[in-house]
Amino acid sequence: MMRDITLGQFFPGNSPLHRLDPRMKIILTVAYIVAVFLADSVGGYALLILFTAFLVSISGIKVSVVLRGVRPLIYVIAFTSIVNIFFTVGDTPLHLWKITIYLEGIVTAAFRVERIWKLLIGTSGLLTHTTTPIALTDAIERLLSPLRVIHVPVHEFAMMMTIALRFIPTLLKETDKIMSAQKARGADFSTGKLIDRAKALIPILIPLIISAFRSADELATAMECRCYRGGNGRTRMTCLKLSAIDFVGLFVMAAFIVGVLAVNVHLPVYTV
Amino acid sequence: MSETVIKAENLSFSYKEDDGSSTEVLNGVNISIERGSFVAVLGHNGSGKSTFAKLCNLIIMPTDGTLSLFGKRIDEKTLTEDELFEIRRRVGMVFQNPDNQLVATIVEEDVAFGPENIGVPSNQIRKRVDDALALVGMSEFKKHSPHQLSGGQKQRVAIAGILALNPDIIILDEATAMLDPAGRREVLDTVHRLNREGKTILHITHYMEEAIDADRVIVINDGNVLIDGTPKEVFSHTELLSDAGLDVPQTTDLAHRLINDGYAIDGDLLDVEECAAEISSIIKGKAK
Amino acid sequence: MSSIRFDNVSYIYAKGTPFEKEALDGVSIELDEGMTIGIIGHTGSGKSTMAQVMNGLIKPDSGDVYIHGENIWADPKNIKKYRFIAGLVFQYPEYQLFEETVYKDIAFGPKNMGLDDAEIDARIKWAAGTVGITADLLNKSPFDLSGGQKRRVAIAGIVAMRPSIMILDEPAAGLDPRGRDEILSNIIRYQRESSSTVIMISHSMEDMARYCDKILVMNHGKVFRYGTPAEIFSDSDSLENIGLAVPQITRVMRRLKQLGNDVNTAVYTVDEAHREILRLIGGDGK
Repeated sequence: MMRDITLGQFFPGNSPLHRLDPRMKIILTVAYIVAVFLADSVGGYALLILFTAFLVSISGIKVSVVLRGVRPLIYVIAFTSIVNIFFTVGDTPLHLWKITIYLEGIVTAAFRVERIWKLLIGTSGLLTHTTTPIALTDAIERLLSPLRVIHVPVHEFAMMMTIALRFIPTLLKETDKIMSAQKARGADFSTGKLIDRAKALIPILIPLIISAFRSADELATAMECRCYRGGNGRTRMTCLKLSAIDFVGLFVMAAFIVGVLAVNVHLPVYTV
Repeated sequence: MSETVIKAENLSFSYKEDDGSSTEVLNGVNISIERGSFVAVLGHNGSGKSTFAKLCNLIIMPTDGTLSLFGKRIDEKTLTEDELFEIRRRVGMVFQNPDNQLVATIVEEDVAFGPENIGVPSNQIRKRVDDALALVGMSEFKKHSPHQLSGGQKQRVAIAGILALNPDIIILDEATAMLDPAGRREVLDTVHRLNREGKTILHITHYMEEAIDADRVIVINDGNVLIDGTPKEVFSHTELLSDAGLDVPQTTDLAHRLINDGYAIDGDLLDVEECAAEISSIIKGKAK
Repeated sequence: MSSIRFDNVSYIYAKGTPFEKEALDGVSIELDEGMTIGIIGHTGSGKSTMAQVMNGLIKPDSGDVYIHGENIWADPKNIKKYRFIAGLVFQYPEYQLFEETVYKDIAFGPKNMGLDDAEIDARIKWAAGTVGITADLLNKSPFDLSGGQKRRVAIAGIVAMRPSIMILDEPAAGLDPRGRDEILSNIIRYQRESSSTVIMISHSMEDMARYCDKILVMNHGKVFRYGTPAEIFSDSDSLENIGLAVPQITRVMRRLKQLGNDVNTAVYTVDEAHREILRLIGGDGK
């Protein structure tokens, strides 16, 4: 079950998106999110959909994979649609049996759903699928490094993220193993009242926490043995350098945002 | 005479229990290790063998006696932080649990961790990482994630991470204990190769078969050196070893039983070939 | 009667992911009852999967599993019952300890069986004794014990369920020789006293030879051989072909034979080798 989640998983490749500098990618993702919120006309939305489809197509990642990544959030989307459909009051009533809904509600719902999809695809599909976790944390560390001046522990924060990412698969495997071991002793996690099920988690959580602490302790020693003494004086193997492709990306994104704004102003077919 | 890289004289280590009493783990140990040697340190769990390893790269500090590393006596009071980290760099350590010593999510990034920590210029780190991975035979896995590797492969990556710091000594602190036979073989082959290329190896283990190919075997029992010598010398002490909770090779065990029966046979037979040849000559001698 | 029977059992690990792997491939085998059976094979040969299929923790993709002649998946609702009949001790079982005291931790399995307090108490004391945990340790926290003691407490947690079949996945992994000998001899004693079936996964040919009545050799998800240690080790060439070593002492005996001595090469413990050599030397008539 846990293995099915592809959201945030890296897929190796050599597409233009993979080759972008991770710092530029983060900046462009932020720009993309801004664009998603700027687009508030049908024309703007159409442009957004086209642009997103274009990004997915050049990413080299299968559409099905991108869609599977956002599947776990289908409930959020469904909930948003229902709220919008039933609680938006407008001028164009539609009578369905005994319920009255408004056309505006349906349109708003469609727009909102679109917006969530775009956000998820833009951030999950196109940022995390094409960037290794380590490149991401690295880029965040560098982008935030000016904050060091005001004593924000940027390096420590990035190191914590790296280690968390490193240990997620290990802890998932450990959880699986402990669950099986307790099941072999007759533990039952799937039947009984809610309170019983909550209690049934204790035999999993305690060994898991102990195991996590042991890992943390051993890792700390191992890191010290490899001369780790915080961020000061540290160098990095990979030097991030902006190249032509990054400027192309920047230009494309800028053109896109200008396009969205132009469409909003000149083609306000249906404004929300 | 080659250089003594580790010299322990009367070295002791004890720690305080919660109730204030102290427990002695090492009790006046005398060991010196020569540069370029492959030394196996055997002992049962709790014998103090891992404590000795941890003293060698100053994860813990001796409570009594003297410890000299690379000819320099360690004095906790005057040791600067830079000196401490220089010793950690020169004495690399690989631990037991392969999962709990890899830091990064990508193999090559993990190997780069050490050189990055000591401030090696970026343009030199790449070469160090590639060389280290090649030395342990893991180059083709450099873009892999550690959780996709077997136990033996993870330990080889851990060794590469140490090698990238260009150490003089590599200590394996029970680094084979959690591996299957194939993984243990991989790790041992790797460190034997590194030893031939000049690294000093200190292999802490409780598997006697891993000590057979060492230059020297030190058996630690109850915080003291019990036996210290070549594998042949050490394994001929079958009774001492079994009292210390350790195994002897089956060949040596058999030879000793035959000696006890009154047959003239070497007591230090380690390999199958030697053992069979000796016994064969006894059988044939009797037959004549 | 067989203890566990597999009828054409297949299982694919991590189906539908890039890590998909055929863990068990049409395995049919009937394991004996009332003895110690060793399972040996490489990492990835399907041994550990097999252990979890045996007690119903993993449902095979196809084929049937029988415990004492009953198809355990006949009614999936009853699967829990078979986990008590075939108790499984995982690798490094000490990592599953969670209770405040050793006593409470051993009680976890029997409690899940729905036994009454008096019965649970009796079983805990008996199980602790069986694995060599002394009474004064019962009220200690399991986390204050040594590695070897923790391992024994975890095994006692399964022993207390009184399974008629006990399956152990590398019970001696990571222990030093003394710890290993203690654990293994306790398990063997338990098997003899309770005349139950013990199925033990191990990487050590020497341990298998010393403790097991029968050995099952797995290779690439299939049964490679099943037989007595003598049968298994007499065919050392094919074992070596699949990358498994025979005990060192067996290799000595084979070499002796090559050197022209009339020895029995189906020897796999030092005791036997010693006797065999004395027979040869003395058999000539002094």
